[in-house]
Amino acid sequence: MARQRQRATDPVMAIGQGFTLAAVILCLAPMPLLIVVATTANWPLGFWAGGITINWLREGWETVRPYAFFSVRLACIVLVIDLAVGLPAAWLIARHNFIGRQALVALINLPLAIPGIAIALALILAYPLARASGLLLLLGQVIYTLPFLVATLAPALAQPALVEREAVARTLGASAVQRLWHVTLPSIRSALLAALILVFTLSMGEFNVSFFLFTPLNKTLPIELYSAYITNRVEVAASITLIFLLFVVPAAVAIERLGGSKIGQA
Amino acid sequence: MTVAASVVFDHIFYAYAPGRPVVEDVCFEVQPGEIVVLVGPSGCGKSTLLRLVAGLLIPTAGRLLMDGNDTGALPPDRRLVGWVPQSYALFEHLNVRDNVAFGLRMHRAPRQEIARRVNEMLDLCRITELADRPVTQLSGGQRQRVAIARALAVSPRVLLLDEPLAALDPQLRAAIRADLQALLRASGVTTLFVTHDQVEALAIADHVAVLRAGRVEQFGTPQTLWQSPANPFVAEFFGGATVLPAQRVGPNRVRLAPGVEACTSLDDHATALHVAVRAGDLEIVPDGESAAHAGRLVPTASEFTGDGFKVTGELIGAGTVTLLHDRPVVLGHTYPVRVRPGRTICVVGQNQR
Repeated sequence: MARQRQRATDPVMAIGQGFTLAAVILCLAPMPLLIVVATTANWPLGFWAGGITINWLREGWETVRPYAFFSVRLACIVLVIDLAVGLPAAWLIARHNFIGRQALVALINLPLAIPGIAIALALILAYPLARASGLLLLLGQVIYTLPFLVATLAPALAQPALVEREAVARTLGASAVQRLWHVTLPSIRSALLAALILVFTLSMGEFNVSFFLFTPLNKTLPIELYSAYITNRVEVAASITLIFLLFVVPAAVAIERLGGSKIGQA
Repeated sequence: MTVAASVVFDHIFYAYAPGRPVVEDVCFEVQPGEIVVLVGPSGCGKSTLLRLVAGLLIPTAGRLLMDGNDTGALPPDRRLVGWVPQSYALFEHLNVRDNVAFGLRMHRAPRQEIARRVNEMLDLCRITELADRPVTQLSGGQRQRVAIARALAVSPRVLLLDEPLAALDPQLRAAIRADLQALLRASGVTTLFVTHDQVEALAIADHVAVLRAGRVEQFGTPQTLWQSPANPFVAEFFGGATVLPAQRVGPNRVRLAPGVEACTSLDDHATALHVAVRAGDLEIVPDGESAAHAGRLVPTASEFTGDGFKVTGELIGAGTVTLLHDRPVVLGHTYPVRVRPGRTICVVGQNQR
């Protein structure tokens, strides 16, 4: 009797597992549907109506190709700027207790609390002339992604074990540059890599800020995805979505494998 | 190889925050090639002293001399001091050989010189067979050796070891301690060794500095600290002595309690003084012997130690003492007690050598 009771599943646990399963199905169900829609010749008539085709995928790729490459290029530039600004900022926050430290943390994290639209509009109002060149788009994305980079790197840099290793390196004769290169960067390697992939993914997928800041010459993949849904056939939109996922999913998987649960994800 | 340096602490003060010193007026000298142990309870400032020597901290007042030269604000990377923190702080992304080679590479030593010196250190620390292993796969004792080899590779003028044995299994500690001492003697380096363990201090040191609350309570050889503790703190820290007041009753003779008299190693003309009584100093008068010249002990606790009993009790007219006895005692009974024949008792507070 007692043994049977032990074997019976806890009802609360069972309900929780049920909800988890339902959520997973709800989230994943659109994926196969997308594939079906993108490969159906005439979707309004139903599943694979008119046969299976890759024409929509080809058309979708032709439509978004320039924007996809633009997005990748933009994400790379955002990455470089984030690193140049964010790594020193994270180091300052992690290692020094200076007057205004809390203010700096708050300032960097502020964009998390402000809607993307507000950031974009503020930038347009402040620098109306910079919009045409695409500089505002870049700036907007940097502002939006920087808190994630700093939040990932600062705890890694603050580890007491790392501080002690750097101190040992110092007694062994390592200069500041040598310590950074031979001790600090190798020690925060996985956090650094995770932060870079995170920023890259966020930049690739960012819509809110970009929607207000793009120009016809500086248009990102999500913006094009949006216009495809508004103006194109649903099959093309589905194809573009699949292509978009091809860019983003590998990065998301990589973050997860680098210990993504520890990293402040969007 | 760099010649071992002397280190002089000349009225060193250090405070992390103004008005709250953690090191106060520390003065002692370390001769070249000596092992000096800094010992004291946690928070006494011993690790801070090592960081001061390493240059990771700069004294707020006082001078720190190395080979007679004031180190001033010389940064750690130019002091040539080997520092081994308690965690060992190995470079986890490098293997054993690259850890040991690190300092030489930072100093841009020629490749052949690095290889030769690293092999020499691996050999000295007996970790040659581990050379190509990642440091994450090593045991505590092996990690300690890598950390010491890494510090010694750059031929430091002084080696600083912060609780090097604390992270090891208690069963291994004594054996590794003996190995470590042999290694330090073989390398000939001046060593400052921090521990909170008095047994470790006595076993390994040429001189010991006993610290409490940032001050040096006593500096001397292990024998001096044991035989002539400068104050009750030092006496109680070493060998778990009980400090009792005593009356001088003649040359080299004191009375601890009614009926209990003892010889002392030192004579003091003061009539009232303090003595350090250790567990081996007193005994319960064996059955059949005269208890005429004996004090009275009322046991309050008894612990079985394997080869006997450690009895704690009230020595009537004196205070709480501990002694060793071969048979169980009845708590609350009164036993005749005397100083073990032939024993001399240490006088506290006379710093004569």
